Amino acid sequence: MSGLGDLFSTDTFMPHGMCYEWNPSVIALHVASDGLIALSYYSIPLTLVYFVRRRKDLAFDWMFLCFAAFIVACGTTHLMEIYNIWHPVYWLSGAIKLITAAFSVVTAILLIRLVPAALALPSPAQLRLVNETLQHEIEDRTAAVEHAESLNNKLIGQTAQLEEANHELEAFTYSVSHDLRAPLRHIDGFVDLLRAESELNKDGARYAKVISDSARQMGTLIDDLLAFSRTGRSALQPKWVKMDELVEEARTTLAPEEKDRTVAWSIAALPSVFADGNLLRQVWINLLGNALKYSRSTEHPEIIVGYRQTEREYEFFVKDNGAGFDMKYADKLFGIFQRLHLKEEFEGTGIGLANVRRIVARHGGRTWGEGKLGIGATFFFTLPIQSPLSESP
Amino acid sequence: MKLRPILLVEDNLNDVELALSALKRNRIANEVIVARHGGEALDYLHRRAEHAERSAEDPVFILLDLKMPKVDGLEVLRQIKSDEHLKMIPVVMLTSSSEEADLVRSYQLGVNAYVIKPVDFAQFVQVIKELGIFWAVINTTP
Repeated sequence: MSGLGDLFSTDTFMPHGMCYEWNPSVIALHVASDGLIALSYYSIPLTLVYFVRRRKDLAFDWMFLCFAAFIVACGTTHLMEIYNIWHPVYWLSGAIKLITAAFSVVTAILLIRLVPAALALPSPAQLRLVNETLQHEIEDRTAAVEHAESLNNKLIGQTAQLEEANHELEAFTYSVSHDLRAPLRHIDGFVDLLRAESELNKDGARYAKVISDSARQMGTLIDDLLAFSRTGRSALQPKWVKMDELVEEARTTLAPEEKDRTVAWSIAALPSVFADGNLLRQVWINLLGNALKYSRSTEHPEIIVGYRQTEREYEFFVKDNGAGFDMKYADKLFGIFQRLHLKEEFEGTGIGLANVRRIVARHGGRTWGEGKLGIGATFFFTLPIQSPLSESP
Repeated sequence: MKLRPILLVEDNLNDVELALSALKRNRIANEVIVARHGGEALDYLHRRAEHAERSAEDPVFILLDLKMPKVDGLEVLRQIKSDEHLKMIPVVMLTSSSEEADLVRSYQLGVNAYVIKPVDFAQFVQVIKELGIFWAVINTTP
C-alpha cells in the first residue's frame, strides 16, 4: 500500500465469506452477532454521555468519556467484520483496529492510574455512616442551641432584675440625698435658734452643741456615702493620663494640710496609665491625704511615692513614717466607715480607703496596706499595664 | 421706692421658718411671700385664684425648693421659663438634693442658680445672706 487511497484497495485478498465457504448459516450467525454487538456498543456511549451530562457532580467524568470513545471504536471493528465478509478491505479494517487499540490502551492505562483516586472516593456505605454521624451532630447542636437560648433568656431576666435593683438603688440614693438631709438641717437650725433666743445655762449650752455637732457629723457621713455611691455608679471615662500630673494636682489640693509643717517628700517619676483621671486623682488625694494626716505628730515626717513594674501591672505605693497601724486590722482598713483611730486623734469618716478600693477595683487593680504601729504605713494599689479599658496606646 | 418681694416656694414648715429666720438675721428688708407648693407659686405668679387681686409687684427673685408634693420645683421652673413674661424673674433652686441629674435638669430648664442647702445652720444663714444680697440688691433685672 502506498497512500491513503490504497486504504480502500482490496488487492488480491479474498473476502471473509470465502473462509465461511459462503455457508449461509455461518454467515447469518456472524452477521447477526457482529451486528448486535455493534448496536449494543453504539448504544452504551449514548447512555454514558447522557448520564455524565445529567450528573454534574460526577467524579472523574472524563473517564466516562474515554470509555465511550473506546466502546464506539470497538463497535466499529464489529461493523467492519460484517463488511469484510463480502469486501476484503483488510487495510481499512486493520486501521480501524489500530485506532481501537490506541483508545483501548489509553483507557486501560488511565483506568489503572485512576484506581487509587477512585478508591479514595467514599463508598455509599461510608457515606451513609457519615450521614448518620452528621445527623447526630445536628441533633447535638440543636440541643446546644436550645440550651444557649434558655441561658440567654435567663440572662435577659437577670439583667432586668439587675436594672430593677439599680433603679431601686438610685431611688434610695436620691431619698438619702434629699429626705435624710432635711431633718438634719432642721435639728441644727432649731438648736441654733434655741441658743440665740433663749437663755441656756452652761449644761444646756453644751447639750445644744453636742446635738448640732452630731447633726453636722451625720450630714458629713451622708455626703460621703453619696460620694461613695457616685464613684460606683458613674461611667468610667478612661484616657491616657500622666500619674506625675495627678500626684502634683493631689498635692496642690492638699496644700492646706501641709501648712506650717515641713514634710520630706520623695516622689519618683511615674508612668502614664489608661484610666479615668478624675477618679485616680481622688485615689491620690486620699492616699497622700492619709499620709499627711497620720504623720502629723511625727517629728520628721517623710512621704515616699513610687512604683514597681511587673509583667502585667504597675504597683504604686505611698509610704509614710506616721502613726501606722496594727496589721491585725489590715482587712478592716478598706471597709466603708471603718476607722482604726479615735475621732479625737484623727478626724475623718472612714470613707477614703473604701473609695480608693472601689476606684482601683473598677480599673481592674488591687489595693492593700502594710503597717506597724508607731513606725508608719505603706499603701499599695495596682493597675494593669494593658488596661482592660484600652486596646493600645 | 417700695422693695419688690421675694417669693419663697417651700413645702416644709421647718424649712420655711429657718429660711425666714436666716433672712431676718441678715436684715434683708424685702417682704417674703411664701408659697407652700408648686401650684400656689404658679397661681401667685399668674395672679390666679386667691392671688388674682394681688397688688404686689412681681418678685425680685424666686427661691424654689425642688422636691414638693404634686407640682414639684422642676415643673414650676419649666412653666416659669416657658412664659414670655415670667422668665425674666431670676429663679434660684434651693434644695437638699446634690443629685447630678437634678442639677443638670435644672440648668437645662434655665435656672439662674442652683444652691444646695448646707446641713450646718451657720452656713445656711451665710448662704441666704449672700443669695439675698446678690439677687435682691446687687443684681439688676429688666
